Amino acid sequence: MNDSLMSRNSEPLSVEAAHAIALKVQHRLAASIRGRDEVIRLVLTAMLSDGHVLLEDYPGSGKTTLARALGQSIRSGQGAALADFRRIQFTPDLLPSDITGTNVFQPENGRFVFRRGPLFSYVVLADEINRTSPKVQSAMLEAMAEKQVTIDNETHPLDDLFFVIATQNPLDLAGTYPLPTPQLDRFLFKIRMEHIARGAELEVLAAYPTPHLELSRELDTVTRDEVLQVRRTLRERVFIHPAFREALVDLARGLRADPRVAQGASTRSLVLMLPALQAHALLAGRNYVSPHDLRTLAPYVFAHRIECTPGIDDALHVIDEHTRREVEKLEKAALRQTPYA
Amino acid sequence: MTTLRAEVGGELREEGVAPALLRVVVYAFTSAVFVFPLTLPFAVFMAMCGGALAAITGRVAAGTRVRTRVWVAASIVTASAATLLSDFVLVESSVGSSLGPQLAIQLSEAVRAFALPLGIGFAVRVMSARMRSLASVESAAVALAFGSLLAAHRNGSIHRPHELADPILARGGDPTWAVLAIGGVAAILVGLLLIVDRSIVRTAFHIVALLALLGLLFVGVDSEVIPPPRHQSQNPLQMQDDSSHGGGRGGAGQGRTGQDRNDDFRDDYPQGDRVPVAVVLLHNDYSPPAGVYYFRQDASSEFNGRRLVSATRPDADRDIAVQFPTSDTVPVVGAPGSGAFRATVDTTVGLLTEHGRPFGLESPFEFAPYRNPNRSRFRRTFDVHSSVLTADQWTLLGTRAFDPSWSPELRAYYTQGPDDPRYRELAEHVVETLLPEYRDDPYARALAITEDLSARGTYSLHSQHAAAADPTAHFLFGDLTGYCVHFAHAAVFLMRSIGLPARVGTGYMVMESSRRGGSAVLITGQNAHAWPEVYLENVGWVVVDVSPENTLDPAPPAADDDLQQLLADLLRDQAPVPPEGRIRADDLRQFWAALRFWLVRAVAFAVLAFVVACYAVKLARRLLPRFVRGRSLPRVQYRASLDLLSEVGEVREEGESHAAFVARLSDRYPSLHTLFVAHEARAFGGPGDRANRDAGPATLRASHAALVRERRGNATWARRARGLINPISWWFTR
Repeated sequence: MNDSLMSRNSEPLSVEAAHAIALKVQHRLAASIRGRDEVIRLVLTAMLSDGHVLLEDYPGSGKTTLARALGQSIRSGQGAALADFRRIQFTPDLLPSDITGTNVFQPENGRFVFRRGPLFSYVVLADEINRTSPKVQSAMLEAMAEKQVTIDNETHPLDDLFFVIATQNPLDLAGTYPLPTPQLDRFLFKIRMEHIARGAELEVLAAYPTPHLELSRELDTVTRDEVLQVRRTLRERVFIHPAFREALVDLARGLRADPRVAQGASTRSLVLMLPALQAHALLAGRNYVSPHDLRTLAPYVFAHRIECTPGIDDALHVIDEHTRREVEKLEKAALRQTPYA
Repeated sequence: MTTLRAEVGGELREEGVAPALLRVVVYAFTSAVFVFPLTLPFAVFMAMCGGALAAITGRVAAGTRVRTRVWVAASIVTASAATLLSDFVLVESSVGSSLGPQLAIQLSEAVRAFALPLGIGFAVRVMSARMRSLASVESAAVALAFGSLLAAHRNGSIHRPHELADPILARGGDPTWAVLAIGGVAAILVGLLLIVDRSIVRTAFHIVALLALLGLLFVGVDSEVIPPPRHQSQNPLQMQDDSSHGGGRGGAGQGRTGQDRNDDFRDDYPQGDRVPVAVVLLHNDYSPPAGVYYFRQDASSEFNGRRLVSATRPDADRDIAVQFPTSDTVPVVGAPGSGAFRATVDTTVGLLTEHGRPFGLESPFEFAPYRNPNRSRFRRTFDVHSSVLTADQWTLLGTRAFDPSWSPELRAYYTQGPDDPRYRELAEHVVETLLPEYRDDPYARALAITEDLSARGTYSLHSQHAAAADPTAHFLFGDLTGYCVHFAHAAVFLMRSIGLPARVGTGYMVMESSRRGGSAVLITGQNAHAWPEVYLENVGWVVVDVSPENTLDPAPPAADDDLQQLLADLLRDQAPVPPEGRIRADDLRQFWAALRFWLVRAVAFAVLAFVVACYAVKLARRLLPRFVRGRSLPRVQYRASLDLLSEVGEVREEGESHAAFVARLSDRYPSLHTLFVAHEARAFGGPGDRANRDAGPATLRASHAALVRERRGNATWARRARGLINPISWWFTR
């Protein structure tokens, strides 16, 4: 939690107010991109729960539009000098300093001055992250995990809002450096984007010649501080029933014990899951986490974290099986007795 | 689907209700099978209950955190305590006097039969549920239970007094099918165990057990002791060898037809096997003077230059019956009349193998048909009226040889023998040993000859005489080692050489002692025999047998009393009563009748109780929201609404979350959303949740009422009525 944020906003917002802020962003995004409501909700959930997302999709599926719309939805507020959105196209010859920034010698005063790279922004689109060398990948992932970059032994903090949308193309794997599972663990969600529905695709074409992004200009934006407040609010105000913690642990243990799973989900993924559940509940306007949140998010959280044994292709199916069981258990118990009697 | 969960060795293993129920069935049946041969029918039922209870409690116990060894110890203690208790009930006189001895015994048996399967089954269930390596114990137990049940019937033995075969035999059924059916049930039970388990290791164990069981079955149905009726080849070329098939030592083996026979001397005679060839019922208590029953089938009296063969003269051996009685009685014209020396004995013969001609006790004078009570078992059945010799040896002294009616040719025919003078020399030498007053007595002379042969001869199935020109002389003046055909021929030739009318009788010989006091005589292949006979005036053909004092062969095994009794009962068309007499057919029938009586009522009552209970639950769930206040109201109200929807077939699908279900129905049942949110907020919301304020009791009731209206619009009148009648509609609310 950020110190400056704490000092500026001593009290978290009410759940209703936080929900209203989240809705503003959601409306803007929905106006910009058609037929991606599920992805929008997931991306928002990730941003509000301080995670990052990895989109697995095909070129031209609207990921840049999504990231740009998200960046444009957030005003800097109080005159901060950060860009709202940056896009980094990852290539094999990219160097870490290309994304983090570098110290530049200034002849006029004979000193090195740090020049910020594209990571210093609110929303970063890391396009085709698997195309670049592991060196750059690890620099990127360090920035994502630590929210800071280190250049010449000097640490530069990134913005609190720092939110990464990384993409990779699932088909064209020649000449790529696929992210290993431990690195994938840094992403809260991995979202596989399917092609949008026929009606939505028609809507996209109907908007020609004015892109939707332009249309959404008139809608309300939110400030960076508001987003951070929402983050804090959901952590403190959205209730997680103890049964969910048990369900999460049981789910992870079940996955690890499953003979079809070679490597189960990490404890960190469970810790990351909690704010994600809260964010998802908040987006639905609830002040409590429901089994539906768990059911919805579990595949996106666990799919890239577990490794199946050879011969098992469908990790999602395995996860869904276990999630279904835990959700069923929660709902059954709820229908059977009232807690806190 | 409801699942039972158990913490097993740190990992979760789940078992559905259906597999658990299957296991209960398997345990119940296995327990019943285990105790079935050991106890009373009622106790078998108790064992079934014990096994079923063991399967249930064992599963529950395996799910607890108590250690396995504690549970096993507990089961041992339970079983031991129950055994002690059952002994106590038997021993304690007060129990016996208050309940009566019969009830006390039943109580004791029931306690034991209930508790032992409960204890053992419980331990097995706990162990197999917790440890995969011990899962084989389960299938091994099933295999053992059925194996022990079938082991007694190995090789198709049906005659041992066993509960399995006897009640079926009593009804005239074929126990082979019952044995097969039991094996099938066993295979199904193990198969169920196989299906129930998803673990590969367990499955492998079960498959091994199943194969073992099938192997046992394979051995079990291989019928040997009582062979199925087989059809003999009628090929004349094989006729010469035929007597070797049945093991008829004297030539009376089964399968021979008509006169075309040639049972020549052999060097190696096969030991007759124990295959039963016939069973004879004695209707009169007749003890033969010599203590031996002779069943004559044929006689050899015609000398062909080498040995004696069946008569070709029409006037010779007219006491030999040729055809079986079919519809009418067949009188034997040449049979001796019942004079002072003879009495009439009636017998019934059941042939288990095919015979060429009928035989009867000693001298049959009439064959009559007898209804075959069991066509799969008996080839032929007929009554025989025999004129048997009752006079002892002393009475027969003084009678003359030859029948006065015989023609000179016939007299010469019965005294014809080899030209070898040594026969006459030996015979006269033997007769010299008699006391002077008996030297001219025909019967005494015959006896002297057979006594001499008995004293000097050695019985052996293996001899070296067949190749000689005169095998009888080679035997008689050689090593005197041979089997009954040798002795019979030697005796007859000796008798004929000194002018006694003699012939060789063939058939079966059974010691009277083998009756064991019963009225039935079992004849096996071992009983085939040939013996010398001499003709006495007014008496007829009298058996004067040679019984060698020395024998080179081991004594044949004793006859099978149980088989004898069983076959006799079958022939009498009576239910064979097992010697132990524990379960009689009547008992079994009464038991089944009582069981059916109570079973029908119990099932009817159970069904009724079940339906009533279901309606009660349904009503309670429907009405509960009216009486509940406060915290539980949203849940109870939501559940009542779900019940309403279940009645009209709107149920949550497998794997569908409640939120998805409510969303799916949102078009037709929008009110459900309010109820669901209220319930969910109550269930998962924090202590001071928003829904608490939003959805008060009034809102919930209003929403429920709205739902009822929506249901009226969405479901037809008939559908709603059907849902109302359905007692288990609430089951589908999940």
